[in-house]
Amino acid sequence: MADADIGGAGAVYVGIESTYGTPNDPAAAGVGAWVPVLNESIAYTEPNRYYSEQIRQEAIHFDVKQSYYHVEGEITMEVDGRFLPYFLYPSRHTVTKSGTGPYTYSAVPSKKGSTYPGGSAKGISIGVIRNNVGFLYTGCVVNQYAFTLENGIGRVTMSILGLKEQPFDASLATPTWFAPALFGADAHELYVDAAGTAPGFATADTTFNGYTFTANHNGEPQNRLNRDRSATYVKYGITEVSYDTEQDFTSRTEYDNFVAANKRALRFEAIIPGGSGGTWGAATSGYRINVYNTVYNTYEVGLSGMGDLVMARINGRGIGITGGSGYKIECISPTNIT
Amino acid sequence: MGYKIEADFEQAEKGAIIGIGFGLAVENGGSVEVDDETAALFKEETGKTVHEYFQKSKTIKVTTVASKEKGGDD
Repeated sequence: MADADIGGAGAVYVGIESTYGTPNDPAAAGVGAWVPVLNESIAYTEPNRYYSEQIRQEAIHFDVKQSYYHVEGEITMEVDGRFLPYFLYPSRHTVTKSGTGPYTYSAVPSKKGSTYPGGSAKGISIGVIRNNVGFLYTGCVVNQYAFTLENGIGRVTMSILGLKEQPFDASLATPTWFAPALFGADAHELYVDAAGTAPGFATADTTFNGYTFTANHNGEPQNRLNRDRSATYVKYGITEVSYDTEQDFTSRTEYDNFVAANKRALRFEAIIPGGSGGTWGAATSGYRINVYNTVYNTYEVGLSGMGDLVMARINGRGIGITGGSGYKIECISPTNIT
Repeated sequence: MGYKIEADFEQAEKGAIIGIGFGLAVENGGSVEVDDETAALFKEETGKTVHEYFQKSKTIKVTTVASKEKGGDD
């Protein structure tokens, strides 16, 4: 019998599939990398396992059959420019790459309705080694991104939907690891500007505390009649874009913008090297999230306590914009995905 | 018998340090030689020789080389 083991000895592989749904095995040649994550919960998910209620002079279920299944779960990791591009392609985004190294990846939302078989969807295979046992999840896409800051460190939680699960031989996998390049407390800035397809974002606003950006594509697995219980494709719903932050309340300006539903633009930017002289143009690694057309959904200002700062708790919502994209996720990365 | 470990990870920049586990690292596009003692520790840990372990790897190539004497402190 094998020893019990802890999570730290595990490993997660992410491989871009040459054809959506075709496994990219960690032990085979393919475009992919071992990604250092903080946690994962990717799982075989069978929502409606069938328990027969045959009436046969008994009061207990008398048979069980497997039903449709799909793959579902989350991956949380510290944002690292080296690995983020692997998670941008398999999503409801159009991704472009520029530069000669480091490369800049730009992901803008698309209106694609599904990852229909034979279509143009890109997917990833996610291999997970748990106590030396290999699980391989295929046809996976990122349904939701939640970028946030944890003690000043950039972090992202990605909600994954996938088609199929199968084993892989973990003993044949040979994980390799790069040195981490995390975005620390000196990496981040936030900019607010008037809404537009190309705001200047000239001056950082230093009155914000914390930031979480969420893009949810409301995907749902679809199972169709064939001799395979796994999901056939992922159907997308409405793209919902939002952000949450706090701001020192020093004037009515943004409150008035909230009341008037005035459109604003917001940029979150994180770079390496950071510090006061750091710029996106000189960064060796970075990520930024531009929301070009946004309104404050809620803007709460209260006197929460005698010793508390007077702060505005803000929830903003991103919407589309004529002649441009509602938002864009950009990443400067040493990784060359071809 | 020692081993020469070479790394060629197409998606990464040359010179990036790649940890290959068990306290070993190699530059992308470069190589590192593993002495007998380290190779023995590797086998103890994995149950396989360095060559066997990386046999299926798409980024790491291993060749056998003549044994190297491990350097002393004096």
